[in-house]
Amino acid sequence: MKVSLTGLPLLVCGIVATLLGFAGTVFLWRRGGRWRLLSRTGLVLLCEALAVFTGAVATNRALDLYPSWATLFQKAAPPPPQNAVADPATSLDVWLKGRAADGARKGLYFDWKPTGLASWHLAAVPTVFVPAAYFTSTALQFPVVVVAAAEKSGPAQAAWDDKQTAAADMVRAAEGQGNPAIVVFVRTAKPDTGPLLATELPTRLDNDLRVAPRGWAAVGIGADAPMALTVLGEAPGRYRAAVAVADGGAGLPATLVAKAGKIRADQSALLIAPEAAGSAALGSGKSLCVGAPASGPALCADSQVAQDSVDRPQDRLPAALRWTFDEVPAPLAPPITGPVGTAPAPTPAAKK
Amino acid sequence: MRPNSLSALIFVLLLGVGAAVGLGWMWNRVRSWWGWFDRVVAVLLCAVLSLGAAGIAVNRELNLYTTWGQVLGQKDAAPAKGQTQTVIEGAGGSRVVEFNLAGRASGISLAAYAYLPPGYDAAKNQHTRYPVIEAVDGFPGSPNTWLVSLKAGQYLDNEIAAGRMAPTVVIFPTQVLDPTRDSECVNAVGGAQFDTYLTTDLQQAVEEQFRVRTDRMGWSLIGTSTGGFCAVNLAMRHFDRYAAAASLSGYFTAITDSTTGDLYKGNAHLRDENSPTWRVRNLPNPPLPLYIATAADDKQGVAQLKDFTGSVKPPISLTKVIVPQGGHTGAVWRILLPSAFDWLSGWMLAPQVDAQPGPVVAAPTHGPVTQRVEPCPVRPPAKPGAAAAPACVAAKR
Repeated sequence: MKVSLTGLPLLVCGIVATLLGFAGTVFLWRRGGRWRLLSRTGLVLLCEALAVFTGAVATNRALDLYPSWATLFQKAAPPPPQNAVADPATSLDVWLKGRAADGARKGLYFDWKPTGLASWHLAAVPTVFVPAAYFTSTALQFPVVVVAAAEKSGPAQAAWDDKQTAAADMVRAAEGQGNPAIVVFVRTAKPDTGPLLATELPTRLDNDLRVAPRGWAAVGIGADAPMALTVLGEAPGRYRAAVAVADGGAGLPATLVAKAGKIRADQSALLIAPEAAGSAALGSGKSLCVGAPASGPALCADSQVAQDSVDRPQDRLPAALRWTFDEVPAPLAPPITGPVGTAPAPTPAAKK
Repeated sequence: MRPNSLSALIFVLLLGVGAAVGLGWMWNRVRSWWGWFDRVVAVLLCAVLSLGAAGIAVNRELNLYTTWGQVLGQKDAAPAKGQTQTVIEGAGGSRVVEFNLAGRASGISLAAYAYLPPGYDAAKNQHTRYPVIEAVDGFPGSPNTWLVSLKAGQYLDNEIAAGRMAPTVVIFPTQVLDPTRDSECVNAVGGAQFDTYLTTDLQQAVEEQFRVRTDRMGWSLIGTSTGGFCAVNLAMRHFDRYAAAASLSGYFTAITDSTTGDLYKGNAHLRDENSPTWRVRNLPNPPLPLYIATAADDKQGVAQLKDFTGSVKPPISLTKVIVPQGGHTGAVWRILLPSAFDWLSGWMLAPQVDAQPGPVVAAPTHGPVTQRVEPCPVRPPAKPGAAAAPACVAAKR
């Protein structure tokens, strides 16, 4: 029969043993002959040990700290194996490995042709900038910034230059000392791309590159500006920051400002528009952040972007990227998702 | 010899054996009228020493008292305002400093500890602001429960070195005024305002003294046992301040008992508002990721977990972990800490490079040994080519 560590029988046994110990000590105190000193010492120590043991059992029974003998003596089943994490394998690994030497120096900018691209109905093949750290830290998963703009819009319309060096240089300059992230440039054929940004593109990126599972940012330019804010609501588990950028002197519609004001408290949004064309809802600043972490959902001026000149359309996307690089998580290796390691000696802790 | 040291335990055990031998020896040798007095004193001495040995054994696990002054009720002096004292130097370049966390709004001023990740002191990072995890201990407990018993610094070093966690500052505050009185981290009616102290005051003081992010997504909470309750309760009550929270063997219903006293003075509504389970059932659920863990054989913990998680609704994002065995002990927390830290880091934003340099932690002082953990010795600068000095560890025994 197995006696439970927290059961009443053990406590009763402890109390009885302690009482018997005291009774036996009294009874045997004057016996023992020449060994009396030894027997007395042993009896006293036995009584002390029994009393402490019984007290400990009573305390453990009341607080339920160690529910079993196995827990007490660490004879538990072997701890679950640590979730050994190998460098995640993605479908572009081999292709990227061949360009690692170049990529490790200054990052890599390339046309991305994922499976199912034709069904996305984009105006052009998406392009991807992978930061240099991607090639040197091969266990890390990188956050993603998705930038969407209309076909053929360039820096004059607040979008990017499709030339490789120009786009890559812009990202590198914006990244600066900040947080490295993968940047995906998407040319849309129409402003409403359906589930593209929310589900299809992230799913393909999961497959092709080492990307973080959450904490992404979206940047929408011009007619695509609402899309960036929409995706925050459609995929809150994936995206947590968005920037809506006005593409000229036209500013951003008031409905967009209202939409930005309704994002979740754990999300951030930034609106960048020229002062002259800014609607009344945008206030007097050249840029406003909405739902900034420190300020909650209220509109506020963003100090960092405010320092940038956004009068010129070509300055707005770099400012947006600088802001998003501060709004994404660090590149991290896949987390340990369960208990790990060999359980060391247990620590009792009082509990209520 | 400290009250949590092995040498103290052995010393008291030897004294206990000596007292038992002495009791047996002197029993028949004292025959005068005060003989019974001597015998009673000897028996009491044996009892006191056996209880003392048991107490030291428990204290060695919980590390509630690390100096004899604390045992006698003395309060240690924290470093002066703006000063820090290094108490642990990690092998990877991290360090733990003690500082005085003075609360302006709550009026509470207590010692606290900060884990500064590897690279924090490097010149190239003087513009970097780090995310922060606030780690709350259980009751009874102290920051030493994290730093000495759970060896949190080593786990943090490992996770950061492995890249599973971003370099993060971790704050270990004190959540009690009196080691025998549980604050539950709440604003007690007519009493200590620990909710304010651990949220508003702590963030303000830490942002002034360390280079940390100041936005919501740069802060999170973790706690064990009562600290787990604190973490979830504070994060839910102040979800505008925290990105995520993790509870290891915590509970989710406010309690009052002999250790807490009457925190709410009969105000049932206030008590409800400090119960996460009541909040998720009766108030809009905040957009807050929660990591809830316990051991399967921790019956009360499992019951609390099921009660709470069964009521959680979106936009709360719930991660639930139940380990097969371990009861309500540090063994469970130690095997869960790496995954909990990784999980929290995944929900927070990265270290931020600021245009302006942040506050610089004052050069560490190495004062007299009056602190809760022993300060590290001052070392001369290493000479080129010389072997690296061994890392200083907390509470040398």
